[in-house]
Amino acid sequence: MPPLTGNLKEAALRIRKRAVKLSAKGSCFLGSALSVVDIIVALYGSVIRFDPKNPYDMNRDRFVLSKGHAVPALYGLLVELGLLTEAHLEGHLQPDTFIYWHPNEKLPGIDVSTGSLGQGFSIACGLALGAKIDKSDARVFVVLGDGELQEGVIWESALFSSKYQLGNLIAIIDRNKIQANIETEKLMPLEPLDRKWESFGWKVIIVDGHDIDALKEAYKSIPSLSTKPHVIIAETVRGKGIPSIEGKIDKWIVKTTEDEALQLIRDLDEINV
Amino acid sequence: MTPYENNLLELFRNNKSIVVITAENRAFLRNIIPFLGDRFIDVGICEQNMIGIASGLAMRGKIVITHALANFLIMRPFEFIRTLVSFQNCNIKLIAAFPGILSEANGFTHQAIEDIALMRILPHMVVISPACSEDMGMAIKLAIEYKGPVYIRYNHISWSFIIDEELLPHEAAREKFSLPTGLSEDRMSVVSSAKMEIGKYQILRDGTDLYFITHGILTKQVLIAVEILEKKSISAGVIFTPIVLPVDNKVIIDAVKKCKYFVIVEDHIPTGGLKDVLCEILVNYQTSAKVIHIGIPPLGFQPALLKDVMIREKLDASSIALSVESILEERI
Repeated sequence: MPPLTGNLKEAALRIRKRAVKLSAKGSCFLGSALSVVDIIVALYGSVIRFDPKNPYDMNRDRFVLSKGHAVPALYGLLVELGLLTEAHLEGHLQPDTFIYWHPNEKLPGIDVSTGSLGQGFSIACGLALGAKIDKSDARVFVVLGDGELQEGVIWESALFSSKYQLGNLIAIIDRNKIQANIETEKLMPLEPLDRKWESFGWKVIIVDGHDIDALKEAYKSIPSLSTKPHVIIAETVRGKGIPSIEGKIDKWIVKTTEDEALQLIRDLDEINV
Repeated sequence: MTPYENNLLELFRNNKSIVVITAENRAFLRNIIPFLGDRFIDVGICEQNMIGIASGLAMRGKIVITHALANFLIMRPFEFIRTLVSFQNCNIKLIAAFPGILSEANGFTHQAIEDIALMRILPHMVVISPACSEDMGMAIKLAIEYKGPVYIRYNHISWSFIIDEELLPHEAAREKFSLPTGLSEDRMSVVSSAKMEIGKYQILRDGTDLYFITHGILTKQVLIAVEILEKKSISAGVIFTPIVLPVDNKVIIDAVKKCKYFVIVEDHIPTGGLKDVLCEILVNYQTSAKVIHIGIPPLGFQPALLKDVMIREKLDASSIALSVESILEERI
């Protein structure tokens, strides 16, 4: 049984609402978080091998949110999994809670402290290699931002994982085509992105990054015994679910009042009726 | 097989957690690579990725021994080392090839002459600078036994290395002192019997006029300089710091009580190295002493073969002795 059961769309909606609430608790990277919610929900609702009751099991699959600033989506998921509570999220940005703008592995369910773009992917390669050396069938899932792909270490890692046949490494690119406050294709064009990864020896899957069923199918289609690393290019919309934020280049970090947050939550409800 | 290879291989065979990784720097692993199997990984020329991978491996409980040229190993991926290795207290060992003057004729692109300064600001980092290739075996053993990050200045030069007498440029020095070309037997044994212990500096000998503080490749030159100075009735002590960090406050403070002249000899720039270590200790203990640094200028040394570098930069024994003599004359 996957760690996340029940109606995944409803779970995704609850996670989005939690992210919005964090924007009223001193701000958060709301646009990025809303972009990756469905990617994460579909993963925890399908193939990832993770037992929330035993979050440090050595043989678990690892999840690395390399674009660490999208962490509100992860906090919301951890509430779904029972590893955090809504009360914990009330402590957003409070000292000593470890709930802040980037993930900290001191929280159960967070495997890697990320935030420095590109590092998470490199660490994921090490985790995947370590599993291989240990003859473990554990896999490593890593979510990358498309802007993050500008980091040179990403391509060092892409070369490495192909050469060392890390078939237990699955990267998911959150392809929302906006980085911070500018379009990726305007700043530093990435296309043709699929061909770039193919030429590095990766197997590429392109999917609608907000279609949970399609994402689940994409995850399930990846063979557990593969000699090739896989990358899912998830076509997403930054700020997905809230019209006033969707695709807006100035909505990366979002700071709201309590009232504004309530309005955004009503917007979410309206769209998801 | 070198002492380093010998000990690393033995430790590797006895501990399945050890993974040896390199960014295409195989010089010091050549003889053992065939025995390492799938726990040897060459990531190619990408030091950032090597540190990231090492960190992932360490998260799975591995002890990861990384290799690259010193400045590429720590400066290219400095942020990775800071965030992943140091802050997270990872069990990763950084084996830095050709540090300090050992980069010889490579030029400033390859000179790691501020590496101790960089490592010194990183929490948890232990820094080892062995006096010779013979001591590298001890260094890697200590590094693996220690749980946490360790930076080792790899020293591939044997203790038997000498600067030929003919190369000594200072006629004045040769006339003044009958210069030894090597080191007397008892001095040899002083270093080889010295034990490396984390948190401990070692007093190789006491002195009344000054103390040298030194580590790494220049240790032997300092010991020869002490012999030269002895002939001039200058009594120099030697504090040997093969484990540069963490610092040993006690040894330093005890020495300060006996003597107020300290000469730091290290193939490192003046900023951030042992000189600053010493000055910080003096301030912390509210005491003072005269501190002189003999080392590498901030913009590096002139590229040349090792012996020529040592002579050009006045890091050979006779130059060190001359410098000290003139410093003491100034005092009078």
